[in-house]
Amino acid sequence: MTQFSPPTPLAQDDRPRPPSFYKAASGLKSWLYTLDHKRIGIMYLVSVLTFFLVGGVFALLVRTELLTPGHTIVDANTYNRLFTLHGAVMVFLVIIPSVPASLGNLILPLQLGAKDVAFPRLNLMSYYVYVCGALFALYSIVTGAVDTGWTFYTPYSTTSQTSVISMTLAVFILGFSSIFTGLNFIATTHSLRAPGMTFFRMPLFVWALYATSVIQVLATPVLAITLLLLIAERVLHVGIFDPAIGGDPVLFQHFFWFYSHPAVYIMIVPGFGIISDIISCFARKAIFGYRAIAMSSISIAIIGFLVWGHHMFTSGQSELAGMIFSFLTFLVAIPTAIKVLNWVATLYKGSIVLRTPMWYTLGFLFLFTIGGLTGLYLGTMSIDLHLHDTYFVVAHFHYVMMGGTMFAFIGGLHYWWPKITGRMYNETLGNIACLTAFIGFNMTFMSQFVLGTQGMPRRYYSYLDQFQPLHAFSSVGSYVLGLGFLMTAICLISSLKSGAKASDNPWGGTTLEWKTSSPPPLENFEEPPVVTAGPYDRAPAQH
Amino acid sequence: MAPGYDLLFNSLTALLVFCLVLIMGAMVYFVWKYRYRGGAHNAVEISHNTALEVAWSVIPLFVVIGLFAWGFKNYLDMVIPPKDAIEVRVTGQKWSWSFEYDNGATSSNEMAVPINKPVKLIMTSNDVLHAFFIPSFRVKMDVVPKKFNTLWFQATQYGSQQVFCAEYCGTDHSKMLAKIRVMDQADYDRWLEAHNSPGKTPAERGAKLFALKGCNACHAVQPDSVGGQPTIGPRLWNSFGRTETMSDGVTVTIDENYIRESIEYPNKKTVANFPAGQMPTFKGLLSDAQIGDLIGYIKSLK
Amino acid sequence: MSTATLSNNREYHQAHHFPTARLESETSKLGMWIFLATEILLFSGLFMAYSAYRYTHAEMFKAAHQLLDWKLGAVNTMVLIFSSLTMALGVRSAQTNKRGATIGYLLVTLLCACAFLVVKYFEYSHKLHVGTLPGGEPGHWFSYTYKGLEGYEQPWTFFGCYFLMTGLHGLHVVIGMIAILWAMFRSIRGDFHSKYYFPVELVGLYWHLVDLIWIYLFPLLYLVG
Repeated sequence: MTQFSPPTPLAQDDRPRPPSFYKAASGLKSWLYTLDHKRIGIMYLVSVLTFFLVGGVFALLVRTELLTPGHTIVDANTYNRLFTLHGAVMVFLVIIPSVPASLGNLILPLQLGAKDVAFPRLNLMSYYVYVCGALFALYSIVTGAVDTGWTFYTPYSTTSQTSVISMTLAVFILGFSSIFTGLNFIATTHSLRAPGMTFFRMPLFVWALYATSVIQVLATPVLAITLLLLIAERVLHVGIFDPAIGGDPVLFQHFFWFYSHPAVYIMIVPGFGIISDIISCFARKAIFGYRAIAMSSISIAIIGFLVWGHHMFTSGQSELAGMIFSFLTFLVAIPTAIKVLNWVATLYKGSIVLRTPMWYTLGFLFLFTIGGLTGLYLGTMSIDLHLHDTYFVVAHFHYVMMGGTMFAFIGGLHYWWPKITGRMYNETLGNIACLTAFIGFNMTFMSQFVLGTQGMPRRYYSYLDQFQPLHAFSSVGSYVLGLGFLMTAICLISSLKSGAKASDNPWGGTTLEWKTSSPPPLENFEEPPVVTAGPYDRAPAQH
Repeated sequence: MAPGYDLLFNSLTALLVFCLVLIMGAMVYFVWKYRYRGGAHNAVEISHNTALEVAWSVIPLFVVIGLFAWGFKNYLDMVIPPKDAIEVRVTGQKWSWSFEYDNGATSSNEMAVPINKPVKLIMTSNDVLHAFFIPSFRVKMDVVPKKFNTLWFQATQYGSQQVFCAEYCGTDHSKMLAKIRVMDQADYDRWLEAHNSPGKTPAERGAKLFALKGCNACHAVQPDSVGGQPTIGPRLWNSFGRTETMSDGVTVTIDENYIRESIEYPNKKTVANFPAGQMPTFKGLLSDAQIGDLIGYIKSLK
Repeated sequence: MSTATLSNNREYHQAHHFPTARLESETSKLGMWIFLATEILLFSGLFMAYSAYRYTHAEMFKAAHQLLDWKLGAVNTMVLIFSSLTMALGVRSAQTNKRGATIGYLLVTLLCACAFLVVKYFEYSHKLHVGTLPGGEPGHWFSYTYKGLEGYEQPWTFFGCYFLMTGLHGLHVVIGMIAILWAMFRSIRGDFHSKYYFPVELVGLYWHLVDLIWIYLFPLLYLVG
């Protein structure tokens, strides 16, 4: 690992500037006991990216097994563990914390003009809780792992002989990390905005994190109790989910999806915030329809709590219930569509600078729009009877979670990279990596839409011969996708040593984080900022 | 096999492709036309446009409401079977499917249906969740232990249709396949005969069980015109499909789920004007197959 | 950055990232309210499970809850309500600079919590003795009897709900006791006075929630039917 030596912030004039937060203290203890949101954000970032690698390896193993219809590299039981772990690691250890805990921790207080989050000690605790959950997950993996699917449906999960309890405990613990982060962000947003920053002068990234935090705080406890009840069912046989002793497996599905649907909004809404900030910056103009986008984040958060039953159209729930869920699912598409339209409208008469963050953003717009539109198929009750539990669903959620959240996350990482590290990455390499990932992604998952409509079910170890060409194509695509992310990693990591030094505001952004040094000092700002304009307003000369 | 469905699916595809091309076309066009060409930036600030925003909120709203309504109607067509559908009982277990027909025939992993006739599947599981998925018929329904779910279809083409299990169920989930063989009515009748287990239909087995277990001491099974029948419990003649009012005022339709519940937990829902606590529970005393036979027998009482 | 003097002359430095002490205490209270909301949602999952099974197994629930001793439950309810009163008085004492009274009220609250747990201990041990356990079925390693509930289906589901709900609640009582002890310790040390007492207030808010949850649990489990 090359030694990362953060540069001295470039001086705007000849005044001596405070040292960056990296230099404010040194040594292992200064990191392990830190209360600085930026250091905590960095620790989260490293952890999340590490588990992204772990989950990605599981994915590549899954896709490699699927190159041929029968046995390729592993047996069925191992395969079932691989896809379960891929899902569990990606959902709980990577995507849910990815934007809020890493980029959110790093950037939210800066964008608010604050010195830190409201509860720095709670922040550090949330990181250690994450680590604790990760250790339980690793323990589960090495003691036989789980083969239930990341959704833990009963009664399979109450009777499977795999390490279900340690994995569900891991997820239970990780949930608290998520709750603490959300709690912190809500309090910070309410209390620590800079003087003059009203709610409607906050950047849209902050609005997005706020909406996400509300979901995190309200939905995650329900997951906690669901998992506790699952463990109680396995250990005590209370008869709540296992039909053999009088329980109701469909009740488990209701409980599970009551959290897990809002969870997908926890995953995507922060990404929406990143996109808003990047588009405004690189189109050199304020976002079109700021209030609409802000309010749409809130309405998605609210409606998102009401649609969980659309995962259960084939479970035998009543037609009336299904009808309500389907209707509300269509309704939640509207605020989402409004966002996409507003973003595209912002490009109109802009002065668009194409850099790596913007390329990821354009990729996001394409991939997320496809993902979102294909959700409409699944929300249509009769179509879902056909497509539920097929590769169509797998393609849909990868388009929104990977093409959506992860592309936004990586775009945001490039966008704020100079701010966080004080270095510029290599633009050419960054763009090639983005294109490679984009091509690989579409190869992998567009083919899966077709597989799904042809009837290929998901979570299948072996499959009928007729599906092989598309499966093989998808697997090759996954290698290209992996290569693209590898190149991204190389691009970013190598910049730590050899990247050019970054100025305070290399992109010409308007939000508050760009008004301090790169990297920022410990207290974030030399002088606490006072806000007199909207977050994306530019002085006329700045256009 | 499901023409109403395919029309909806294809229409939706056309609509979504149109939206994608429109939005992405605009995006690509704007990025190209308004790209920065050096010198001073000349972006024009446009904070909002109320008319446009209202339009692109309200129009999609009507479109999605229309889609919802169409999808819901299509859904009702797909899940509500015609009254005269042929019934087949399906049981899923790790990792195979078994089928039982009205005449007592049984088969596993392969099912026969007559062409152009509606077929209704009444499905349950012996262990964990499974799902019965027939891609070419565009239908799927979960198969839940201790519960009956239904699915119906009408085959319009000869040949063999693939069935998959579509709810993850463990090691051989991907091997839990079946086939539906669509044939002429005459061939179907011959097939049923060939697969009939020697002796009894579910109804005949159920009748013997009914007497053996003493159910006929309390429940009448002949028309009211026949005298001397027991009146301790509700009469079962012509009961299947009937709506009854329970002692707490709730109305219940007598279907497979209700009969099973009454056999295993007789005091949960008692018919109004009949005493609770009289009927003993048979939970643990009857196997699932035997309960199925009794249901078959009760259905035959008409 | 301002400092406030504590009654034993120790300086209280408000956290550096808050512009005023008042904002810090207000934000802390907001944080605690949000945390209480998460606790309500946690328990609401259990209430939903209870409701679902009560609806589908109404007769069994009615019969099974007769096996609970409602008098002991009522005692616990009174004890907790009283402890909420003493907790509130403790907060008020801290607010009005009465250090002795604060410690006294916190101590009484703590003793009430102990009494609650003692009563619970008797209830649980009686059930373990008699065999009305949270789960199990013939052949499971818990030996169980549900005397008086023969003919009712799955009585273990009621007792599963009972033990899970009261158990989770009991865990929160224990956590509350630790928090009260911490507040007592800081009070003895002289940390609190009229300008800085919000940690006691936060503990109080938590304790009131613990009480409130019990006030819902008690009728649902012990009385309804």
